[in-house]
Amino acid sequence: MDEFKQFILGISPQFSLTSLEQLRKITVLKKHKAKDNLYKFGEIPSKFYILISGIAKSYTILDNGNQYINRLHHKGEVMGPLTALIENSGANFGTECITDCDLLECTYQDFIHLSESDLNCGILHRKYLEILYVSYTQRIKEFLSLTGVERYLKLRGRIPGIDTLVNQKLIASHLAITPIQLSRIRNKLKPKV
Amino acid sequence: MKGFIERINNTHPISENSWNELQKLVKVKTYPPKYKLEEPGKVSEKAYYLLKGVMRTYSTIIKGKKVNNGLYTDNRYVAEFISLILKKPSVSTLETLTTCTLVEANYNDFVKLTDTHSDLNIWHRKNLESFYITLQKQDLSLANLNATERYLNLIKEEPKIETLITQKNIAAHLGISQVQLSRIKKKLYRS
Repeated sequence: MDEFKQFILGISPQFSLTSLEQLRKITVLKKHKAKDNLYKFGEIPSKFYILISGIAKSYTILDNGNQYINRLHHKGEVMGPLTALIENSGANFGTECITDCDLLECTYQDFIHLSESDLNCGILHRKYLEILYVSYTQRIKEFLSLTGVERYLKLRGRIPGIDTLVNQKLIASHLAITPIQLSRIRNKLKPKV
Repeated sequence: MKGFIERINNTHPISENSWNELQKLVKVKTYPPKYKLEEPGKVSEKAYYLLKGVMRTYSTIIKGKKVNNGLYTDNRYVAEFISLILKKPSVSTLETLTTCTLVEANYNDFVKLTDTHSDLNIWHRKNLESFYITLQKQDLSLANLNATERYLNLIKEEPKIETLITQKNIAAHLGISQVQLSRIKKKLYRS
């Protein structure tokens, strides 16, 4: 089964083949190099992306000038400044490829048109927003209730091999801890000889 | 019910037929203060629209510490959405803090209805989008703002909150202790 079909059926198992073909027509496969930014920070965006391979990050710059990575993306995740796309406002989050990435690009308004005219796509859209809701709520709960160690272990569970794929500074920023704290955590977790 | 109808029309107007179908699913109920509508360990079944009152959701996650996940006042959707979506037992409590009047519906029945009516599907999608935007703001606020700024934000968003709920609940919502909250308010009051 191709990656796109697998991705769609993973969200909505009853999705019709006719609707799948409609969706294919509005997506384009793009290849990006590491450090490519997918759109400009502050500008009104028009597209979202489905990551086929590679690792990317969604980030913003905090008031204190530090970068805050709110999501490390891996295969099969949707990326893009959803709030800005919904509100038709300037992007307050950037999306940057950390490694070389293959992704499917889709114009948001084309997708909205399909979502509102084809109930199959509308249901897919509803299910995807539910997934997003669950993932965001869990992240906020982790922030409020878990320690740095626990957040790190959760990330390793979600993206196996993350330590070899992404540098420590990025992981620390995503976990809202300093690189020194992360280094201490990793040392603590190392099996004692 | 007036607030609920207004909210629907402001989000995405629905047809008379869809409204008639929706009405068959919803009931208006009033609950006393400190009434637990949802509790940890049970799979949640209902979604609510708070017409009047104040409610909160909280989890007791680590070392008995209560973490408020949400504080809600008039005209808000309220539910244990994670439990409803994943059909897994809730880890949170959904509780009234004052007398509350709610519109309630079985979530599965509601979703089935939205999956068969295009206008209801769009309305529900727009609600989910606005929940997502609220969550993103909360995430950013946690990363970006200190406790004083989070407190000022809360007062800005819910101006009456100080008179409606206890300091203990406000502190839990901000993820700080009551002592910290009291210090923050003292500092702000002085300046």
